[in-house]
Amino acid sequence: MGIRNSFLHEIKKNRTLWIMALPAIIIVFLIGYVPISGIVLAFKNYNYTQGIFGSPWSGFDNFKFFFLSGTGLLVTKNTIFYNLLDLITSQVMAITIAIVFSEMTVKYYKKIAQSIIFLPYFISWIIVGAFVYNLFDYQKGALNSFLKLLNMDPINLYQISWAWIIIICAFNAWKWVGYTSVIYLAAIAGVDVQCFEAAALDGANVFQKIWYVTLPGIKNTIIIIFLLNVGRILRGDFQMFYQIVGNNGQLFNTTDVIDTYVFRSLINSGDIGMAAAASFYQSFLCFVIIMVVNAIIKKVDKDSALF
Amino acid sequence: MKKSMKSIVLALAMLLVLTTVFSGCSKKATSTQVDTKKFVELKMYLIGTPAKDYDAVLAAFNEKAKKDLNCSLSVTWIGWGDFSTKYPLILASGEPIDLIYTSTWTKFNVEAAKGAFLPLEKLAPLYAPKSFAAQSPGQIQTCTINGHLDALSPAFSQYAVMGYIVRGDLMKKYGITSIKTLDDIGAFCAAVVKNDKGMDPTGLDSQSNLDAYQLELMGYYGVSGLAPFPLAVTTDASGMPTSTVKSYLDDPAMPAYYQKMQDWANAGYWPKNVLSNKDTNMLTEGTAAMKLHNIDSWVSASMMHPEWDLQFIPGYPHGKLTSAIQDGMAIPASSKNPERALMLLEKLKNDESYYDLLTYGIKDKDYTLNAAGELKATDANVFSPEGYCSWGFKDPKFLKVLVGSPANMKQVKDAVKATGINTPYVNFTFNVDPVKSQVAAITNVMTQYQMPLSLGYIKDPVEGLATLKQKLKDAGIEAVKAELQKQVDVFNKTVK
Amino acid sequence: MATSITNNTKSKDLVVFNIVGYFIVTLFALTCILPFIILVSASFTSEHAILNYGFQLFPKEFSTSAYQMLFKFPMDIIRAYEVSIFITVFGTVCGLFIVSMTAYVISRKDFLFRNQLTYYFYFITLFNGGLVATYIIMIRYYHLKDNLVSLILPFLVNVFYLIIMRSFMTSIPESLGESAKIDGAGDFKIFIKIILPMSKPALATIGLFIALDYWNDWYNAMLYITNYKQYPLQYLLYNMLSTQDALSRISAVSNVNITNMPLQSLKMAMAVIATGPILLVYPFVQKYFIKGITVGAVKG
Repeated sequence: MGIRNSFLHEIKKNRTLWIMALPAIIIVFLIGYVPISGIVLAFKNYNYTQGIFGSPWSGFDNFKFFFLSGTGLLVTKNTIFYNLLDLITSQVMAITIAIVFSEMTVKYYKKIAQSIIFLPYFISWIIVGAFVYNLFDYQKGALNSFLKLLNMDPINLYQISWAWIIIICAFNAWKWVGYTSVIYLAAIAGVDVQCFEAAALDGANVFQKIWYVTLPGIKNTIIIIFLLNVGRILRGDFQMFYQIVGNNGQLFNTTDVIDTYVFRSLINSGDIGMAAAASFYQSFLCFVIIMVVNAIIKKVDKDSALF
Repeated sequence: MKKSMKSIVLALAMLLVLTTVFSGCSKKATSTQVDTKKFVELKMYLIGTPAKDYDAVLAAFNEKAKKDLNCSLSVTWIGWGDFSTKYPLILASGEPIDLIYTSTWTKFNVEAAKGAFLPLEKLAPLYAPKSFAAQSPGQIQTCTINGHLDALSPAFSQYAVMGYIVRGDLMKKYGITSIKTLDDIGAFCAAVVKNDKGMDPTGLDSQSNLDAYQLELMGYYGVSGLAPFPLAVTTDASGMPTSTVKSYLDDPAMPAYYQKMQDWANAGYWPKNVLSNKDTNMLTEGTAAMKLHNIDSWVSASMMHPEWDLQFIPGYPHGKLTSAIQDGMAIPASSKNPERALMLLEKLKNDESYYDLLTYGIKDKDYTLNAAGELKATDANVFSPEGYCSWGFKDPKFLKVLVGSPANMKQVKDAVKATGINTPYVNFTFNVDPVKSQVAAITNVMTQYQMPLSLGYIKDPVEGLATLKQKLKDAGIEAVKAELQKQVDVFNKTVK
Repeated sequence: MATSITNNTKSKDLVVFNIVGYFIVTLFALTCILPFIILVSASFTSEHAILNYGFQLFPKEFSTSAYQMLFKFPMDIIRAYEVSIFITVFGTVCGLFIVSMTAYVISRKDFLFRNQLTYYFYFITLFNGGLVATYIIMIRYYHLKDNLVSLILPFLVNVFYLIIMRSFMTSIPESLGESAKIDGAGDFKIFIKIILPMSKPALATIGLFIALDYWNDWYNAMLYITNYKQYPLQYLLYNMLSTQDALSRISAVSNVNITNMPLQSLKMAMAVIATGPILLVYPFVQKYFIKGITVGAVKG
């Protein structure tokens, strides 16, 4: 009784705010919540004529393929590993570059450099894949041509699994740092100028200013970005892995993620239910992880949590 | 956490509500009274990208269709890059579609088993009688899934064989007069490596290797229609398949074969990074001396480069009849005008004027016929003959020979036909549904472990083969073998 | 006296910082621009040179044949440009407005259900109904096939941007809004007159991101648009790039043999044309990322 009263009371009090939020609420409902019943496909043996709701239930059958021969756990581990590694490296680089830009004084250089580092975002992974092949190919690749120039032996990089951890991480950073740094630039622009003035008056040098003013000033943004990425930690960037690694089976143990593994496995069966099952697995794990992490952050700093 | 529990309950509640709401909307195939007095717009889905002037072609087509059948045809295209995603979606969406191209590689048997297509066994004899009568019992068997005839295949079967398309001019250069065996191929590659350093001897890409040929040479016949896949039936001395399902990887000749592959890889017969190479056109681009593919590929390559004197060498002794559903046309369960669709299909397969339009374009505008009845396209960039998913209704009596085909094409095709195996297995389709999880796991194992092995990249091939076999076991190959054997046995009973 | 000493220490640190900073940025910028130069160069290289020599910094054999082929049927490209521009402009304006407005609502500390509402939005990024359900709903129930709305709707409310925007808005002091309320302003007016002007960097950022999402989207076009006259630019490009990929996969198991495959240089030219325009937009947005826009307005 009390809760209902306060809910209605709340709506009346903040009537305008609720109306302002209404378009988004409706759109998200239409696009996101209405189709959500499709999740049941993960537990059904889909039949076209019976449709989503008429098809027979099949329990956990659709999940079986993922865990047969133990590969499922391996790719789960890889997915989390790569996402964490990529998250840390690209965020650290993005923050660093944003801070450097914010302290730069040469306007022309700043503008041009900012535009340039944004470019990789536009180059699709399909083209990047072609570049990777041209770089690392044993016979004609640029890397080996360079080594030959130095009279060194050519390397067959495709045989060295661990090298690809670095390659993938590097390409991921290359593609996203320019894009992500924009968020941090905006965050830095939002820090109260007075804080910087005060620091200058206190005689702080550049490094102290960054450490005591800039970084704390964008702390909330950093945490939010971190949380948002953790919430996607089971979802690999399919195009990136597929285009860079391709069909190189020898690299799979190190570089295979859930998305590529599922894609390959289902080429012959093309089963809708199995694809839905894999997606549900990712969703469920992401859900559990973000709930836990968010709760932890909330205990430490209530205002920095997602919700 | 309480808050999240509430939200989960809320979400589940919404789910329940939506379930009950939407369960009312189920799909039913309706059969209406056929009335050719009513004008009907038929919708056809084809795969690929349309010719630049396809609109004009369709307009001409619809003029005839309106006159003869009082209907018109509209074509919607599914792009090559999209079809694996879109094909099942379109069938699932329940959008009324009247005709759709189907094939082994659009996974006809998987889709049909899931009820995607309208059963035709009652309708086809009525509304497409000539086409239906032209179907051999074997073809009907192939297109019948779970007791229902779900597609009409072209009245077209040829003996197909995969082989090596080799640069004849280079053969002459090296003084190689004939290539017949695998070792001859090896000798050719060695000559390429020695004399034409920059050229890729075999032109392999990330999807191809020699295992498929080896399988045939060792005496196995692939019945599953899946690739890559280790299970096949054994064949007897004359090449006829038996009814025993085995894994070709268990064959005693395999370790030596993989060792040979490694020797070849080390000798440079293919680059070290074939698995990353997505380019399938190296032969025609001039960067490779050979390509592993079929006769049609050889014909079109020869037309592009007659100066290379391209030779076709079969990869194994016995050609096979192509599967009846290598190409075919089906009617999705959502169609509202299946009868009219069948009538149109009947026209396409039996009336040359209809067939020519969609296959070759508008006469004297898109192509010309010379005195011998050979066809020359005016501009392949505007309309490329047989390039627009017309294979679903192709017919040998209407197929035209293209100008510029290699002179010995008929000879080669006849030779393949002469050694061809006509086995009832061509009509067998493997229903993977009972073992779909294992098939998925096996597919992944083969990609990961078999492909590098067959390209000679694994340091110790014998050990690599053992690893592959172990992984297959973990993935459940025994269960799949049992299931396949079971289905093969059932099939063989019906054939006798 | 004290000032001059601090000035010296400050300038030494500044020098170190600048050297390291400029070095890192320059190095990184080089790695970013080189591939792009190679891309442009490849688009102007003859197909023969690409196949034999691979990608180079400068065209080994200069040729405009790729662009010639592209512009042989210019109507396709021009039409695709029109579609893309329309969707991007319309979608970005609407999307940015809705997202910033909603972000303001959930950033208000006195909005009791802000956490629950945020959770409502966030939940949908964790679980989704899958492609089949979404496709059926969009096509069968919303009737959005071959309708540009199907390309605009999915990106209108990006929950990630919503949450990022919220975090920017929480840094705007509440006292600003409160003092406006005392003056009699309603929530919406506060949003328009006070919050929006103070959120310029955030709006520029999220606006840019939304625009990029719309401009780069090919996936929704693949799903919902079958009429080639309504293809956005990126889908045209994606079609060419993925055709070769798919054909190589199925040529191994089928008799399909298509001869008119897009050339390497054509792919590169297409990529250049598709990227070009948005690059011109970015410099305009840059001016909003200047530090020092936010001045404490709550003095005294």
